[in-house]
Amino acid sequence: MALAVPGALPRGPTANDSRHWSIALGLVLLMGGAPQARAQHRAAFGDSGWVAPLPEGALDGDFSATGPRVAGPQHEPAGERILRAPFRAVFFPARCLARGLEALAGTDLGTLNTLGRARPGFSVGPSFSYSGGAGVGFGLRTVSVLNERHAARWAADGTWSVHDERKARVAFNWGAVGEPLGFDILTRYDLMPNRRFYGVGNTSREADRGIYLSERSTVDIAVRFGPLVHQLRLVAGLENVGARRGYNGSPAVLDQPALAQTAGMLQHSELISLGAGCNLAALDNLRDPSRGVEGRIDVRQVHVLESGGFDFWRYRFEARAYVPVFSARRVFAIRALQHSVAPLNDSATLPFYVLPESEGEAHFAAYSGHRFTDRHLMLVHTEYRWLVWDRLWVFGLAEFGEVASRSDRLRLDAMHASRGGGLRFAFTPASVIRLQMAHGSEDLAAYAMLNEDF
Amino acid sequence: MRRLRLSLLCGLLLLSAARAHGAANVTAIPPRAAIDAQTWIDHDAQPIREPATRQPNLRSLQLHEAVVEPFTHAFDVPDKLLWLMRQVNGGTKPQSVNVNAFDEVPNSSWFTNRNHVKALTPGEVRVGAGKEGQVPVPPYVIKSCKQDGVNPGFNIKDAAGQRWVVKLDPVGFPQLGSGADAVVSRLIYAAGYNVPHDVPFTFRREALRIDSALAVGGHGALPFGEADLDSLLARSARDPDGRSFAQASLFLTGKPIGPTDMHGRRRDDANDWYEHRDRRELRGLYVLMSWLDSWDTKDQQSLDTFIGTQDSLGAVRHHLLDLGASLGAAAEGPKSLRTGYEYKVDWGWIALRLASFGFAVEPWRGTQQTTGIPSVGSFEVAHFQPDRFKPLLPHPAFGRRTARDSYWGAKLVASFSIAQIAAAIDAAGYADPRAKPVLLRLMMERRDKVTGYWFSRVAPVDFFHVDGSTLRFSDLAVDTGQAPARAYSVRLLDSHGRRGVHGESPRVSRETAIELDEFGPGNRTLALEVGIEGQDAVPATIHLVRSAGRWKVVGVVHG
Repeated sequence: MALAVPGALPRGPTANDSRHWSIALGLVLLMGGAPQARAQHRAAFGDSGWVAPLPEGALDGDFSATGPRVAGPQHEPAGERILRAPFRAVFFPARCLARGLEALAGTDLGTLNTLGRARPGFSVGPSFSYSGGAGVGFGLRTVSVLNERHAARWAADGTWSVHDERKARVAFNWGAVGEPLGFDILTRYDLMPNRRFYGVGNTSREADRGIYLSERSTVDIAVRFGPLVHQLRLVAGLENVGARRGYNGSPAVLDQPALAQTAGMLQHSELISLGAGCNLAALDNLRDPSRGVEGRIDVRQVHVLESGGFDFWRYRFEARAYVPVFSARRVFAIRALQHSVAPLNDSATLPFYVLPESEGEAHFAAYSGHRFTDRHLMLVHTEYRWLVWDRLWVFGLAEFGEVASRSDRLRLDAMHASRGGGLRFAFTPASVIRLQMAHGSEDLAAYAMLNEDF
Repeated sequence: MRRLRLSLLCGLLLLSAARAHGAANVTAIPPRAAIDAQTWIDHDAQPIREPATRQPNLRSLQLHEAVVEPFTHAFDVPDKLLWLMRQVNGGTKPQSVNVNAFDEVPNSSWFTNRNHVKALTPGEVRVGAGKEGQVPVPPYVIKSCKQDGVNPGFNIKDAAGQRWVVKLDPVGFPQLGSGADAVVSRLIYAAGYNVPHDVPFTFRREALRIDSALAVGGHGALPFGEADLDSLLARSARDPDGRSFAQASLFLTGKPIGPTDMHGRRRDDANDWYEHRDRRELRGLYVLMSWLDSWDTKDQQSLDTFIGTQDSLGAVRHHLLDLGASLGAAAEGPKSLRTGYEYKVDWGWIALRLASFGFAVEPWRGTQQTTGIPSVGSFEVAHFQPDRFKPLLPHPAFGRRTARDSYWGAKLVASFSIAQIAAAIDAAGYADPRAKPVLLRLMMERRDKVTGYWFSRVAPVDFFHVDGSTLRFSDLAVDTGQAPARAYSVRLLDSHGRRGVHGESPRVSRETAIELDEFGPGNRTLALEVGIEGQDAVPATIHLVRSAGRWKVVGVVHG
């Protein structure tokens, strides 16, 4: 007799289920003591005494003894093999590529992961870089984690690209993002022999593009007070920056009459800066925020070390807001930022290489990098993003950006609009990868951003 | 740029070639053996030389199963053509290879017919693959340890000289992983699979000793000291007395030669005649795993061992192991709500979420899964759909499963009585008194849901045998109390197994018995189709032969 389940047909759980099952369990335990009474009936399938009516001795043998197999060796039918043969030949390279990628995935690439949390100890690994102008760059990266708990580590990274772009970084960080005190030193060297320049101003023409050599060395020291969400920073920096004739590209800026006279061309400057910044945020999730607001301010006073030069203020304001669309996995996000420089002496002319430009966090989505440059830059970026897998979000964006020589000249009708979409994946709050494509008045532009935080 | 691309491609090709070389360096010739479709024992353990150890990389496997395989399948043009041809010819999906004439899996190095052909006693279920009372005996000497990953553990040698693999339960969730593993490994063993002897146990820090070789390190391993052990144990669930909760898994007999390849064969094992994805016991395992919410079914959850016999010869035995990712458990705590409902990379759901701008609502989102019991985790029945269960990664054999394979799996599930399931739960020794009744209720309701679903698609008429001139059978749904007594339709088929040629309407039987003489007393062979009267479930086909005046069942096809 089967131990029938009360109301055994599929159903949802009810408040009485636990009681029913407790009773059933009790019955089971009671019945365990009276097997003889049940044995008088022929056992049915599912009963404790069930024995299938198989041929006598059917299961008595040992599979390791000599004996028959249940079926012959499995082979692909000849017809199927013939059918598949041409496809196998055609797709052989793809198959090899897939196998190669799988093998690559199995390689220990821990040291390649520059975005995730570093492992304790010292590690050395390859480093890569890519940009449209510089091409692919290869190099080395070393990370030495001194103290995992306090996120204390040294990191050095250098790449050299196929178009002779050279980048080197040495950084020391102490203090995890959640800790009340932190300390950072970042030294950078960037040599870009074919950096693009389109001229200063909101109406610069795409067709006027030229290249120059940008060389920049910086040392920044920062002390952080408070965690990332409400943080005060004190910063000091030293910078050597200059512009020379470029190579590995054309046309050169110096061969473009409209650009050659730009202030700062063929000059270099040594700058020292002091400043402060702060973050103030109320977010539900630092890595993938869906609700909350955030504000960031950075102000620096920059002095040129040479006599008769220029001094100026550099401002960066940014505000962000996140609104869930009925769920934390659908978010409307908005970001507005303004980058400005203001000379301390109004008559001074600032070289173009210290002006805000549409690049990095201020990149205009549908336009080339470094496309717009002037004393004031404003960007309003809105996006609807939704979660499609794990930490992968898809977004549709609309963006308006503009540069101007004076802040009162920023006008709605002169804004450069971008519409598009892309993918967002966050490793950590400060390591977000964004791949986006947008359309604007000039063309379609694709852009990849690493180590973003939006 | 072009040169760079070419270099990258060459590099990948070289990597691929190196990989292929490792896999195909030995080609085996199958030993001669007779073929008997009616056998209940597949003699697949003839002496062979030791095969190479297989060491698939986890990330490679994940990429392969989650990305490469789905894309390969999507662009597999011949596969589509073959499917089209099957539709035109009225054919079905390729069936499992290693089934006998009675649509059953013979005993082999993979599987042993157990509970569904001869019920185990609750005591046997509780003991599982090992022996009564077989647990690690203190003190324990740690021989090696695993600190990476979310589930730390170590290998020990106990005072009785036995080697065990120990995995710790996560902090805050005592008996979650170890309990699930104990319950599920016993049921999987009772169903017929080879599993190690897993026991939940607790131990004190003082009972552990570090092996001297492990303490000094070497051979690329760092020294492992007392402080490291303390740090390891700090990541385990502990009771107020400081005892750590863990699962101990007895070392398997034989030499480990790596996980089972769930796709193809082990080419250097001459006994391995059938593609693993076409083995019935692996295809039908889907139904058991769906019942038990056992969501981690990748290659690494299996192990082949080489069991030597003589003169360096031996045979391979195939095991399932590490079944703790089941019921409501995961390595780091209760399983995530999505697990069991979506693959780790579920292209269908990704596309749906993408197309719906995130407004698609997955079924698991609104499901109450958390039981509130730390040792049970997240386990539910209300929204569980037996054919929609998805393990973490797509499983090659699960994907090729047919209705016949699922029916076979459902039969294994249906064979478990409440007493047997209760005995399996007892093996976990849950300290929380709420755990057993809740688990028992959920497992029974899931069992009924699984069997109810598959038995409504394939008629659960089985175990056909001849008694005099009467063909008798069991209705598994009736026997297990899921359906009331009912009538059966019986139809005579022609010698090719086709229906309707005799122009007869099916006869109706109200018993699980059919008088064979009613179907042409002069026939030497009979083919009957037996289904459930008034239901759409695909009927079973039974082939009989009369020899010396006695009928004999020579073949059965379910569905």
